[in-house]
Amino acid sequence: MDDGFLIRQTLSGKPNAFRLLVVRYQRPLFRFLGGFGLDQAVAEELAQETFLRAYRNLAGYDADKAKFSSWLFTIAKHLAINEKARLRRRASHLDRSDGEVELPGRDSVPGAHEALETAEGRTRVQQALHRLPEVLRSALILAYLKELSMDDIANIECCSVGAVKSRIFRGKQLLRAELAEED
Amino acid sequence: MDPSISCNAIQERIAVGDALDEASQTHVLACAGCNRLAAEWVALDSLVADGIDGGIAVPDGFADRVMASLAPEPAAVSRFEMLLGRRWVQLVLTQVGLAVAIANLLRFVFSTLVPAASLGGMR
Repeated sequence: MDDGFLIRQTLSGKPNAFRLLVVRYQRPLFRFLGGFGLDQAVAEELAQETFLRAYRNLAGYDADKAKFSSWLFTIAKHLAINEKARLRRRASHLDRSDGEVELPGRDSVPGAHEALETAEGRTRVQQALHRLPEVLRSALILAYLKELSMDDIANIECCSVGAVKSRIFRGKQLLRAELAEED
Repeated sequence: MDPSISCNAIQERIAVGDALDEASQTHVLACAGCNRLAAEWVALDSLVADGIDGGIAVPDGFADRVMASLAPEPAAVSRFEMLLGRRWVQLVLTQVGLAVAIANLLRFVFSTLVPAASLGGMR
């Protein structure tokens, strides 16, 4: 069943068709949100909000303008960017009010010893990703999801395919440099 | 090696995942710089692909949770409708309506009894 069919079914009053869309896109959506460095609870909240907004605005979705996945990731991207900005404002506010305050991060989550290496690798990648400029990071995360074509990414990023490729290349160069610096 | 093939162009194509034609692939195998960088991109891709989600996972029952949140909401009521629903607003509007009605009645009676003094009746 393709997305178009499921959307039409949802709009004709069969919300269970939307459930299939949720199941289809939940994993890539969580990976995408994870790429923004959001923690599990926030990612869950934003993923739910993304699907909720998609459902409420489904009647306004135009399949001729973008694929459903592009549209969905665009919603998620805006939510993630807003959330990151909110967290940054909160962090700077806390920094001003108390220099000793340390925000909880994934590093502080205790895990099994054997999981530490993987966790460290993830943390390194996450930290390197966070140091990238927003515009490069977003394109890079979307490319690494392997769910979207260059055209889809260009649609989400509101730029040309050439610009997306250039951002991915530049992002990878910076990421490589960042990770090499840590070694 | 084909001198017309640019190392930078090939390295960019490898980085963004574009398919390489045969000449470019031959170049990558022969050129030490492109070969080394191709290996580095592969290693980087593997590292990032594993770590990009930061350990975030889809929780059990997530789709059910989303579906539960889609339950129809009560119809939205505009602020104007809310205002009209207030008792004091209804009272004020009734008073204004009554005042206008009395004024019109008086105007009618006055214009009937004293036509010359009525509005528009001065000649």
